[in-house]
Amino acid sequence: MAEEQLDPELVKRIKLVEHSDYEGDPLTKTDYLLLFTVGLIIPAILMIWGWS
Amino acid sequence: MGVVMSNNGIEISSLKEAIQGTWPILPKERTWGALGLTAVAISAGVAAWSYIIGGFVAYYLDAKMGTIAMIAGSLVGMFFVVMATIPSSVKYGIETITASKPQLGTRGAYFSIFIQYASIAGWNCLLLILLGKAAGNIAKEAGWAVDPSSIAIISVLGSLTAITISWLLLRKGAQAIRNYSYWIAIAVTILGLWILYKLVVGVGLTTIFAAKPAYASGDLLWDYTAGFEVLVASVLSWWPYMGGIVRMVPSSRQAVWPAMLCMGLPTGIISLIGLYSALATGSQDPMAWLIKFGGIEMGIVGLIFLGVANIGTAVVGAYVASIGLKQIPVFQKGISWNGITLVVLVPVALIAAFVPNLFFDNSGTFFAFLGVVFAPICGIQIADYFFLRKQQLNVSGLYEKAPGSAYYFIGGINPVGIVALLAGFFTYTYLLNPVTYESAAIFKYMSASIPAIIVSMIVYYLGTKLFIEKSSMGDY
Repeated sequence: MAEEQLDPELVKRIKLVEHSDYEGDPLTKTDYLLLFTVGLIIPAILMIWGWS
Repeated sequence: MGVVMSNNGIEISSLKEAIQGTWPILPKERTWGALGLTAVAISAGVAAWSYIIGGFVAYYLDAKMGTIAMIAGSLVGMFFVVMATIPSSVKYGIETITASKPQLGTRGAYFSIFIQYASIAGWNCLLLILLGKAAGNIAKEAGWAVDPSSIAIISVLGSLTAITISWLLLRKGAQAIRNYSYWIAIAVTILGLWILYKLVVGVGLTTIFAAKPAYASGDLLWDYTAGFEVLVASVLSWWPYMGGIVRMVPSSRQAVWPAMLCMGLPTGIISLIGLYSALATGSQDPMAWLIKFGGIEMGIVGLIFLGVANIGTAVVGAYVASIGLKQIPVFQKGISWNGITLVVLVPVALIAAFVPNLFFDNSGTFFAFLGVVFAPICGIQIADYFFLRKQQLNVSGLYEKAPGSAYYFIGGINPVGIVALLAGFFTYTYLLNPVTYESAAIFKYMSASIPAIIVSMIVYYLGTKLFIEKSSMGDY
């Protein structure tokens, strides 16, 4: 019922985006590991070093 | 009727609706790339509000500990913003407000619109009023204006000129923003490093690193944590900006590193200018010592940096705020892109023209409480997307508003989302009063933003598991 209210072109886009071929590439495990390192581990090391 | 079809069978006219609105952008339509987003990120990330941040940290910390706390805080804050916003926005090509509907509900997302608009309009006021005031100071130092009313008029005209330039740059849309961001990024990087260099050479590293903070609390750990917290909270304020720009690149990896290293980290690095200026000269504003060391010529160079940096940030903010406003039905049809961008910038112009000092005198309180909101919203988004929905969203549900649609919950609002936001908000304010900086005893061991994020994550996760998943709500 709700979908009928959507613009037909929006519905077309949504149908595509729901398919993995039309989705943006996700982060890999290595990406997440690097992100955790830069975003959490390195700052923690910096803070500890700064306190010493 | 001459409609051009792309090779996906999608009308090209709908591409405009996607890029200037809230429809999802398909990967092949995302034209910025890592370099383009890097340029936009630097253009946005380097802004003169960082002087104020650095100047505030100088109250509590010396140069060594201040540098470390600010760099660490900027990276940690950006980490949470990245985790909350990039995976979903890049996967589905959606902007910030749309991405918040699974957590807050179809109507609850109006809260996201409010904090996005208020935050960006407020920051733009600060940036462009600062720019105007700097122009007034230059005029005063150069002897071009003597009496306070003339200086005030020059300040207002400076702000209004900057706002006009921002609007003219903004009206060309996403491609133009990417293109001129290359030049802005180069200019602000060179000028920012030049100012830092001039400060170090002019004042001396020894002087900077020997200077003592003026208002240290006496508890070094508290001061250290406070300095860290200032940057975490400040960088969390990038949340409203993210979805609208990162959805312009086709992969999350192309979005993560520009965000971390060109939006988050520069906030910390440019803040060093304010930190070192304040410690060595007593003022976080480098304009005063630039003029003192090098005359009006150097002051004008500093003003150019201020102009380029602040306008770059203001334009990116106004761009994402304009897209966010497209969520509101009255802005979806019958109003042009130019019209919506005026809705974003005209209030800034009115404040800059008529009540700039009133805004300045009260902006601290406003920003303090606004900043408190972004920690819990990051928390609930991380909990929802990664731990509850396993990185899958119902894309139709993001655009449906009728009762029974995927993210309608109760009356369009997710009660667990609201409770989790409040839990994070009160956790923060218990640990640290953002206005007075009075704190709980445990604040110095844990900061305030990080516990607020964690508490909101836990409350959201448990509330959803215990109440929402058992119902038919929320598409879990």
